[in-house]
Amino acid sequence: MPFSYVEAGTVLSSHKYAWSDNVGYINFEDVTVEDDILSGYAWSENKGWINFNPTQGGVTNDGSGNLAGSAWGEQLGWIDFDNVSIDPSTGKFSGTATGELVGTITFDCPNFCDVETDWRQNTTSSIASLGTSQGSSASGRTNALGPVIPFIPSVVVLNELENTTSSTGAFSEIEVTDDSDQIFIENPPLFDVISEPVQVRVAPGEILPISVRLSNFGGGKRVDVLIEYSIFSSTGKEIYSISETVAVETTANFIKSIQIPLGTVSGTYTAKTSIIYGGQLAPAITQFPFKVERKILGLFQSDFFLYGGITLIISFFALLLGRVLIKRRKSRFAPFDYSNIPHNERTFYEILSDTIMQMRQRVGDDALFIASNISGLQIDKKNGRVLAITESPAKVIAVLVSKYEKILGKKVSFSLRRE
Amino acid sequence: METQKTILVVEDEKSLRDAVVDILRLKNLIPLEARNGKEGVEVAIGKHPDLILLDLIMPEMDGMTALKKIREDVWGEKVPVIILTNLSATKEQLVEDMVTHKPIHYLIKSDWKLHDVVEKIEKILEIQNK
Repeated sequence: MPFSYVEAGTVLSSHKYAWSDNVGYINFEDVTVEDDILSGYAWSENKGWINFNPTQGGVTNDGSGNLAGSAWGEQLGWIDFDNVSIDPSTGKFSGTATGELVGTITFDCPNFCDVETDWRQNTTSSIASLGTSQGSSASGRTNALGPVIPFIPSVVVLNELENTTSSTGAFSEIEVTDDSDQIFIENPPLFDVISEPVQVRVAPGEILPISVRLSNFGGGKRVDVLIEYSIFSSTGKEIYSISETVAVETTANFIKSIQIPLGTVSGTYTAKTSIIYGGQLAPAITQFPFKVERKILGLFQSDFFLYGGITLIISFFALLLGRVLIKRRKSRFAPFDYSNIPHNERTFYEILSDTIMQMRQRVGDDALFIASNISGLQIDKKNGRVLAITESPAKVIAVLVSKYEKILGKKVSFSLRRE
Repeated sequence: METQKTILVVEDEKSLRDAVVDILRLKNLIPLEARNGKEGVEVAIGKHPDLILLDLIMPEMDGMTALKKIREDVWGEKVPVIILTNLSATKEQLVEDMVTHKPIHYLIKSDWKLHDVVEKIEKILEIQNK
């Protein structure tokens, strides 16, 4: 259904000067052209303001651009506009205005003298539609799946029959020729939805928390928004769906907890969140992928095998290292065999050897050094083996025990080997 | 059923003797007590314990003399003896005696916990049983 409207015009700043023989250039920038009158003021550097809507005069427009009547200049007196017209299709002034003092004002002369307005003759026309179908007026920004309309006029008139809209933003008056079946929507809601994963991996039966943010880029009153949450497998099969309604005015942020069904097979899934609300112009859907993975002993399967493998490898090497160290220690501190020593002396050799070994275990190689300096005792300085006893064996043992006690502060216990 | 083993504790210091006796009982062993070397020899010869825990410095008769007397007995030749003393083997004669009379262990009291001593006792008894 068509609309007719009346528009006010202004003089273009690039085409604003007229020329007077007597007073020079006159600036028409502040003159307003309407369908029936001209208003505002023109300015002469030499003679001041010229009023187009004085109390006892004024300049009229017959709607087709033919001007009539007089403007008043404080220092110029009356100026007659009867012979001036505006081209209704181009907005160019033509003709001459005259006055006793101003002389002749010309509007279209060669030297910067051309006045033009953006006023156009009153027309009846169809207005570009702002359709309810997807993408009819949308541009630029998009939400997860659909377009988001960036500009919403403050008042929208929507005629359902012809699916046309118009805004009051650019017009001084709206005239609807047929007002039947009109719906007036003030600041219709326009929601965007964003959902983000709080965690990207869950086990079957566990809760998947979803961070949901609803933003109303339109305005107006509180709106009931139906939110549908769905889980889809990698093959596109829906395995879970739930919906809820929330009332939102501007924004809403919350965490939605969705329990993943116990029997869900491990794999990659998609969590989709879509919204439906009254007056919706475009679909709003958001989604993100996440993984479902079984748990073993409280760990996700992949983590379990990873950490378990690492633990096994570390344990294996620790065990290996431990065995090597124990073996080395055993070989280092293994008792020496003195079966080649005569029986009556063997026990002394064994006591001396075991004492040196025992002390070496407790304090290190200092025990070997001390023993090697005992008179009457010969040992292998590398391993502490007793090589020979050249003095009284009992005395050598007593001296060695005494030295260890004095130098190292350690007393010596003995264990005699069984025969 | 395995017969309970008897352990003779020859120790003049009552508190230590009591502590050893208590822990032996806990281990299901039968403790015998002697307050000095002389009593120790008498009990040993009379009761034939399975093992003797012997202090060295004691009144009336010292531990090494008691050990000599026990070894003179036919039964006492082979009885396992553990010397538990504060006396370090820094004297030639003591070392000679030790080698001659062969205690299984010569343990310095300050270096050994009672539980470890009892562990050694149990180990010796185990070997005897084999």
